[in-house]
Amino acid sequence: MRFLYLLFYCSAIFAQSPIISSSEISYHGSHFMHDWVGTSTSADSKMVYDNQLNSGSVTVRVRLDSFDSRLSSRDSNMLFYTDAMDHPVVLFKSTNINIKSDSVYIEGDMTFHGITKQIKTVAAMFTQESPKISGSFNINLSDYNIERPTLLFVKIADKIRIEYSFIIE
Amino acid sequence: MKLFTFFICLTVSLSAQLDTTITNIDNMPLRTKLLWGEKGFFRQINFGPDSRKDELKLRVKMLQNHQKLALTSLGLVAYQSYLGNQMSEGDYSKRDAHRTFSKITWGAYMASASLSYFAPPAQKYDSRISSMKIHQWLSYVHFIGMMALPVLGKNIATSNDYNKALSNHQNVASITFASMSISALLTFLPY
Repeated sequence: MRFLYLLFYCSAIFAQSPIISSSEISYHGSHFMHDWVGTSTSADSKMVYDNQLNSGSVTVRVRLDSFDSRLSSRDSNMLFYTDAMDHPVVLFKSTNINIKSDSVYIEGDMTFHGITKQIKTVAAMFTQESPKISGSFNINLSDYNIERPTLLFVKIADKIRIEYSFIIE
Repeated sequence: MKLFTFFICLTVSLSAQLDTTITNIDNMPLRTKLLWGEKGFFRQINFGPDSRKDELKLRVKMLQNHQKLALTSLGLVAYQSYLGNQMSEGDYSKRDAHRTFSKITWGAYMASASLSYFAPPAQKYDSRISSMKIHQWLSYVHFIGMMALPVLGKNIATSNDYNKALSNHQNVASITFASMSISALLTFLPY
């Protein structure tokens, strides 16, 4: 019964040309001294669905300078190390989306620092009140050729966790 | 579908242009404004890197060296405190060492302070109170302390009131050391 409801719900949101009304994307960095989180709520996200092909796609575009880690000097450093003047935007474009039960299996390409890598992530779908999709995945800064900043002679961790959450209308 | 994706890519590439705008420039510290602001001193004499990108590169290098020199200075100030306390307890054999290290400590501190104060502006500022903002405020306290300490130290030998002169030197040294230590500890905090 729950599955039928989800199937109906998903068909409904795609059939209505779903709009991502709000989003929250955060990166989680760590250093031996402390961990921190930088959040952006101003991603430009688009979802399209082709009824004939029975497939959908998602494009998410977020400016690096929109991330706020509650410490402007760290944000400024992040913009320097990610070369945000030449590559101001991180772009994710899905290549395959599968919905099974209340999980969304997403595959796509993420372009960051001018380098495109494939990303696989599983998002949880919440249908209460405002429909929401949220999930996370990890990236390595070294995969995107990003030099890691140092604090007190020690580099930050290479692994960065990305968390995302989208509210769909 | 392909045409739609093409237009998204086109829009993204057109909008992803070089961005050199400093976010919340109004919150830039006054000392940075005076040096690197639109009408700042370094702008007037055309001093500094040619591009904003190179400015940021220089800033990062200067602040990394600031960290290293500041920790060295803190260690030297701690050693100077030890030597000074030995002297105040009557061990005057430490006098030459205290005098020599005062110059090294002062030089290391001023070099470290210069690297921070003269660094080109960041790419982003905000009005919130953060550990780094308190770190900056405390820098004014220990900078004034470091400027006053050599004068107060010399005053001990020349003053008519030895005890008062010693007490002034010790009090300012304690405040300077404490504010430097707190400044260092604040860099460990995440926010």
